[in-house]
Amino acid sequence: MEHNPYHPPGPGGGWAGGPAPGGWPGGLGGSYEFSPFENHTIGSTGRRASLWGIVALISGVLVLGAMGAVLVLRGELVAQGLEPNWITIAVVAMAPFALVNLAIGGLYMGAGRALKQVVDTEGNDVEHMLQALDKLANAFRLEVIVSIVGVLLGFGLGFTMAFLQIDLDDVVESDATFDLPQPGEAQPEPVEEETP
Amino acid sequence: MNQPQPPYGHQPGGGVQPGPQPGGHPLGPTPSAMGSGGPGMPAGYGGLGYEFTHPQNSIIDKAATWAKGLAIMLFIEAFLQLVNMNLLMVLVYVAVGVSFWKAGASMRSVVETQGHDVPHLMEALSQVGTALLIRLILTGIAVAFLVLGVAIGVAVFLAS
Repeated sequence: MEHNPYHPPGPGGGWAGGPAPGGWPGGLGGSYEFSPFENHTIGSTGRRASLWGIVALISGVLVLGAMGAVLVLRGELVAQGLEPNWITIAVVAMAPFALVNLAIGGLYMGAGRALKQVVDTEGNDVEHMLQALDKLANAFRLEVIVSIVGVLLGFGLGFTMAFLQIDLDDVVESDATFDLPQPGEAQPEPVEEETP
Repeated sequence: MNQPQPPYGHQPGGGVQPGPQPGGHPLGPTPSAMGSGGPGMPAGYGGLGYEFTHPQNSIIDKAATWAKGLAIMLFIEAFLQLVNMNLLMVLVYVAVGVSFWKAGASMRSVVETQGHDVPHLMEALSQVGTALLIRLILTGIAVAFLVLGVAIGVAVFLAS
């Protein structure tokens, strides 16, 4: 039997697999109302989650705005000497950052809203709390994925730049020359090795 | 009849709760939790709290896992900042990481223990709130510096 995890079990339904022995003789069937003390903590965290969601959303919107500005001013940037390909790469690179910020902002705001509903409403505290925890879990997961990608990209970029720098230094500083005979020129006499 | 509200919540309907609670645990309240809060009232901290069911625990466990995962990533980023000798950011990342780790640990306690689900959940939410507060303060400081920098730049430009 499918059981919505957000809803508390009905009378006598303590487990997803079936009714618990004894059960609830009446009342609201397993609901729980947080006390004013608990609501204070819940409300405070909800406000901070909503605020952080707004910050993330604004960050995402600003990045989208920057992308738009770069696209609009593309011609002038190219005239200034920037490579068109690099401009395109920069815009494409900013897109995931903007989208992730918008997604994280939406999740945190949703969690904040659910926590606020725990405080402001009665009868569905557990359901709202679990909705909030679910949204927080998804927000945390997205942040972990973004962090992993960011760290890997940073390492990859750093190693690539370090590798290229070493390669360039060897080419620039090397005094080695290889004078190969041109066609038609006399071949150089082989150097005889002196035997001890 | 007015009875003092305990610091921790209660299940609506009042009355002494015979047998297991519909909140999920089939064994019902622990004997030490009975009666000390007055007739029909839970015993406050560690008393007749709500016990989350298995499906509910799975959601809480998911949140615990990803909270700890985020904490680990923040510790890694703190190490990278340490390599860059950016000590201020090291402190920030460590502080936020510790808060998320504690939140994850408290959520895990909700799943793995019985009888203290609500206090553990409140502790978890408090730690999440602390982590978010640190982030908000840092963002506010960064925005303030940005605005100050822009204002100084504009002032210098206008003065010249």
